[in-house]
Amino acid sequence: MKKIFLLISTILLVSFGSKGETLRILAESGDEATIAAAASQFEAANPGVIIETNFLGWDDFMATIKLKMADNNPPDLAHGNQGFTVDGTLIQSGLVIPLDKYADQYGWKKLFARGALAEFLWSDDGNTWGSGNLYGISPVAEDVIVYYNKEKLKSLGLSVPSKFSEFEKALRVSKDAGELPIALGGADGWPIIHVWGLVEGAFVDPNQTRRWIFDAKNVKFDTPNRIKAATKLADMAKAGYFGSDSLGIGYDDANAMFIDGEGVFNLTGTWMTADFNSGMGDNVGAFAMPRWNGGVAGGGSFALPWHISSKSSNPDLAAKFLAHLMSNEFVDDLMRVGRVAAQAPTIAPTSNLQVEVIAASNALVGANAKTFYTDWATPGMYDTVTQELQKVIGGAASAQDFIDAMAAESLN
Amino acid sequence: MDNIYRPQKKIDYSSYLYILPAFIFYILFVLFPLGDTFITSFTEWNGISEKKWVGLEQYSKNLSNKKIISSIKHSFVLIIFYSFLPIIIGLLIAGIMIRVKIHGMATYRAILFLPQILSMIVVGISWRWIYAPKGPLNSGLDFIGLEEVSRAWLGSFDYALPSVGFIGTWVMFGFTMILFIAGVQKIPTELYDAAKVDGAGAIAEFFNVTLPSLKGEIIVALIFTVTLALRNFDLIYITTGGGPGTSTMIPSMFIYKKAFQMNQVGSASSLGIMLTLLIFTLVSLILFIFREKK
Amino acid sequence: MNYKNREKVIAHSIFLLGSIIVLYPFISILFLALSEPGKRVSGFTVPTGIYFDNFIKAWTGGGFSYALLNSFIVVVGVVSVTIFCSTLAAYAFEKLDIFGVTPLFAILLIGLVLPYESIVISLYYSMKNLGLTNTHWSLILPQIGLSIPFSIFWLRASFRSIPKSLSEAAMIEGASRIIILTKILIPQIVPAILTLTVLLFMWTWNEFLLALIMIQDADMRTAPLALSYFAGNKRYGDPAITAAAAIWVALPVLIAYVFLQRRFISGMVTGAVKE
Repeated sequence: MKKIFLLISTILLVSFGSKGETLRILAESGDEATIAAAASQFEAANPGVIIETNFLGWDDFMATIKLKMADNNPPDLAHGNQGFTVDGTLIQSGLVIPLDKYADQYGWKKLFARGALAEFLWSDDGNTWGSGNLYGISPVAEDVIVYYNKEKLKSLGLSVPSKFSEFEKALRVSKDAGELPIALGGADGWPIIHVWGLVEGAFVDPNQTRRWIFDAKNVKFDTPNRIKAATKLADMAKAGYFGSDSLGIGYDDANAMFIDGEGVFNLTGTWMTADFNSGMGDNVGAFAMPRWNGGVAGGGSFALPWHISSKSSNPDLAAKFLAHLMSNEFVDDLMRVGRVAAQAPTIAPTSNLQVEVIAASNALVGANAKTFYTDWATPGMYDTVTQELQKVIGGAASAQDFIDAMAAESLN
Repeated sequence: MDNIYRPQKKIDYSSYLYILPAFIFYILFVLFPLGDTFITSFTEWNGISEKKWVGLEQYSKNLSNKKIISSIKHSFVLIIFYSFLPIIIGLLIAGIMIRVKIHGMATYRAILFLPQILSMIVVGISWRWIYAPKGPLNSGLDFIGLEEVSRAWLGSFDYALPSVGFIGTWVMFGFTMILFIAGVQKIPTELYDAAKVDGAGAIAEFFNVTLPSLKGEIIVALIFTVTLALRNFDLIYITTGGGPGTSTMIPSMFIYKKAFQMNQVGSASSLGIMLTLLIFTLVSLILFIFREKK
Repeated sequence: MNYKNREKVIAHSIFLLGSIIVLYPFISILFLALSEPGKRVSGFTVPTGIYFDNFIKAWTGGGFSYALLNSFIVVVGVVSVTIFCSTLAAYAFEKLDIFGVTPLFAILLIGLVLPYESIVISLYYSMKNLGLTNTHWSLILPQIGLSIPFSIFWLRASFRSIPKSLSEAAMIEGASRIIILTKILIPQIVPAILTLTVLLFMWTWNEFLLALIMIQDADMRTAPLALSYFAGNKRYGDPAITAAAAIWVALPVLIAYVFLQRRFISGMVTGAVKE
């Protein structure tokens, strides 16, 4: 009698247990299309699983992600952000779990070159970055490159620059011809980080920049080359290459302007590929920012890392969904919507723009020139660098002021 | 049973039951958090691990932090826009309304009061649009030939703070207008007649009769608008977020960022206490300046 | 009695000017919200036609049905409990013999002037420890506490304005305090209670910072919070849709205002001075 009872209850428990499992996902809104699609695919392949997705715009995401993960009922799977501001804090507070066992189970580490995953490696106390256990992973690569309006470039008699000085000349020619050289959404602050990343990359050795990002307390920020880069940025702002209104325009508006034909260049990330392609078609091209002596430089890294909450009651299910995101089918989906996958896709690029973007991306990987993002370096860096860069663009601070403020923040 | 002739010394404890529910809520959700914040202000805490006692360190750090001092200065600039301007406008209008009665006052009052009832988020979104580089303000300026003046208002290091300030003036001037007009209409006409007999002109009337009679209303307007200028989180959050740079940062925005984005809860608590003390001081100052002179 | 026509004209012009300045942002937002969807509107354009598409997109895209409901729940909770507790307390302060009135009042005064931005941090951690974040309680309970001081002062002033003869007569007849309160005093101050309701409704509905901190769940957001997230979400960078969303959020208070504007105005203006 007892055995039958146990058997029945076990069967009931198991069937109830696996029926109606809910997976809660929080993502930055840039991934809304792809995650929504992935969620339906996963639900279809795993009957009984319900996926609840929630998306936040970038500013709201940065402002509230830590609160949300610290909440009593956080999402099972959520985006973080590399660096001390978000990931480091999440790990220090014990809010996310390391993914090593899942990476081994699903073979994620085999997908990438040695050292490529450094930006996801942390010590368990969240104090050391760049080595340790795997906290977070992403199937998407994001690079910061230069998009340009092909018609405008041609009509100005310019071609894709191969040295930074040629890029500068292109800016001057554009301005003289009455065009807006660079479309920039400075009101939101963070888009300027990407511009800075490219100008910095043009002058500073990418290895030095990466070392500084991982260990800002002990690596020098105010090197002569970086001072040169900061001065260059300040000069570009003074020369009016960003237009006089850039600090009053938001990121989305600046991109909309660029799509509508205002602005010769747009220095931003490959996440915009799909939007630019659908808005400008063959009229938009892309190249990696050339360095002062040739070669390429760029910010960029993996996209936002996925974390599994330490309070999740369903970490295995979350990992399973993550595996789906890391899979080959999903990589091809990413290609179809114009993102750049971190692994090699099996399908061909779906637009001319994507061809150029992938070429730029490959160039950056080949030159080992990806320099991540400046705001990763310290917990307070995101606020500091956005504020200081706004001051440089607005002419309210000099290049030296910027360098000093950044060097001071590095010590935190 | 109640007894009207209560002996002086006997205290009726059951009366306290009446104030108990209100005070329970008040103590639990206002006084207790205030005390808790006070204690936390003497610690260093990231919100998760143990609190570390550091004495007055948070206060000294905050007071020597240039950005925080600037934010307090910004609040004072906002006081000019949120408080002084609307009060002056209100007083001037009230002065004119001493002798005039017009039809449709009720309608005007209803319209002028509208900004007061809206959420600052709604107000901020509306004005964000008006100030946008291609928004109505700039379009209007271009239209009347003042293109050089048009600019990115909320993106300018020099003009963002005054632009936000002007929003505050817009929100408040209807309130002060109505407040003072209502006050003025309560002034007995005999006072004005007496002044006229003494040969007082309109200006003298204003300073000798109108202003003193409006003292109560002025105090209310001052306290209300000054505290709003010093707090003001919602509007700054939705219009500029403290930017560009830190040109529109205010203490309450710093409190939020420190506590919830930078994991510096001790520092944020200290700033909160400082803000509270600042407001208390200003309110006491206002009451002192306008106290009844015997 | 000297009603010079010139002064009347001046007065009218001033009020007209003031009204235009006040109404302009409203009209601007309204035009923006009613404009043709998808068209990037700029500046002064008067809409060529009336399109409600933006309103529909804003409603469905922003979860505002939940948001308005949540706001409504919070408002009902705050207003009802606050008025109940404050009426009892104000009655006690004014009509009953309470020892230590002055120090108690001084304590309440702190709450009147306190910037609650200072105490939200502590409230957040308290609520988190109680597991109440993301619930309506996290918004209702603190706002009751914050509304108590003003409400007590307000109601006490109203009680004060009741002629003493009324309550004294009742006391002589030997009525208990509860009866005096409910059958005699409260009916006298119903207008004041109504006005207080309207004010509390407005302040609670517009509350933002508390919601920003306490509520992380999209379904639990109150109206202003939903609006703020909506305005920041990349997909709705179109200002016209954001404008429509803003109107949705403002509508309940606006509607209440249209019907009850006398109460709103008299409430904030006359009552504030009474203290």
